[in-house]
Amino acid sequence: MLIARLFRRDFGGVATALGAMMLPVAAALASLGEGMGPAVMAVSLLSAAASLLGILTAMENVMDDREGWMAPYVTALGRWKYAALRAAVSTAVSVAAVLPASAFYGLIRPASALPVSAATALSAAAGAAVGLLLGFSASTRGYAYAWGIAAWTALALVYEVVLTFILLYFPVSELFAATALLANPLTAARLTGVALADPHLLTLGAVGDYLHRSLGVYAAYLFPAAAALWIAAAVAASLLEASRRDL
Amino acid sequence: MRLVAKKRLPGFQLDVDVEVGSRVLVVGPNGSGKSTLLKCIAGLWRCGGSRGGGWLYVPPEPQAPKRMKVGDYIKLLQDLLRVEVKTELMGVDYLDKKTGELSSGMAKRVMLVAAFSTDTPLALDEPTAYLDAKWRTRLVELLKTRREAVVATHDVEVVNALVGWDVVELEEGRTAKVVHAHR
Repeated sequence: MLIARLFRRDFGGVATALGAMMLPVAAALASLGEGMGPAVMAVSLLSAAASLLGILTAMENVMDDREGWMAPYVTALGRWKYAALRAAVSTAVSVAAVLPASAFYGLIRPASALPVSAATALSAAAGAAVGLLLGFSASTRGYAYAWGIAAWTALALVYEVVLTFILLYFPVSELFAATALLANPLTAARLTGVALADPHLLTLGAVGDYLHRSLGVYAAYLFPAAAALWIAAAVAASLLEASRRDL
Repeated sequence: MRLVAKKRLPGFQLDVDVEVGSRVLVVGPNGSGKSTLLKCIAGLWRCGGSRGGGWLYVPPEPQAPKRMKVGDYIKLLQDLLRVEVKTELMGVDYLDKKTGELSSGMAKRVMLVAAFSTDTPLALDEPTAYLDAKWRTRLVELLKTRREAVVATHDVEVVNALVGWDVVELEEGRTAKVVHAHR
């Protein structure tokens, strides 16, 4: 019951606004047609929006708690249980907020429903994990938002531009490139959907070819596994931060 | 019981270790460390001396979430604290209002009814702040019924009304004086 009540309290604000904003984006992407190209584009754009939603939602939830009456949570549950509860609820809120957009896309393009919904849900969860960590670490709400936007820009936008530049101009190995793709929680979450839409990883070029050659069909499992590991690591770091800081 | 708290903040250090009864008034000028002491014993702040915890801290300013109805917030607090919140304790009969629409005093009463509905020891920081005369009087009546509470206050009326409570006076983060009530 407590989880349901917290979910109701937290499902609003940033989560609803960004979730609603994703609906016209999903409609526009669905209008591009069926096939691997449009599906990969839908996965990429909706994942980016979902991860931003996750980061901002979780951060807002944590800051609402920290700037509100935190004492009942700490007294009744203790710090660890409170932080675990916060992680569960914020992740659930983030995933629920992106559901309408991915369901809407899936309704129009049923063949691509699975890649899009898997990528958006995992991206929202990965974003929420990053947002939790930033929410517990930042000294004020202003800093939390600044760090959140900076983290999203770095992980969702700049990271791959830099990686592409490195791959184009430096003689790095395919193993390095593959590892780099897995080393970013938001990229790993997004590529989970890409791998479902494009099982031979053709859209990843030489890196995709390397992964497919090395691991065969199992290459596609690397991405959700990496995303899950990153989420677990970020949530663990958030719990640790919540356990040691002044609340 | 023993109140122990050590906390270093920029330009300030709290160092309190004092043996007192189970009902204590903490007094002292602004910046003497009253709130810090309460947050330390409630386990909200990480402090040296003792781990803290087991006390329910109620801050001076109302801090109810903005987007909820009072009734929903009280249900959340009931689930969290595992108590039946007795809204009649301080006349909280505005359950359909949103917390953001409340005056500061009304929002403060929501927190106080939740706190006074529990058996948990209370750490009350300026509990009369934002309350009008009627509810300040009611608060003092409720405080008299508590078995374990630490109250930080500047309110002379509260100090005079709570006969039988020990008084700890803080000054610049240290215990300046302890007055034990006759037991």
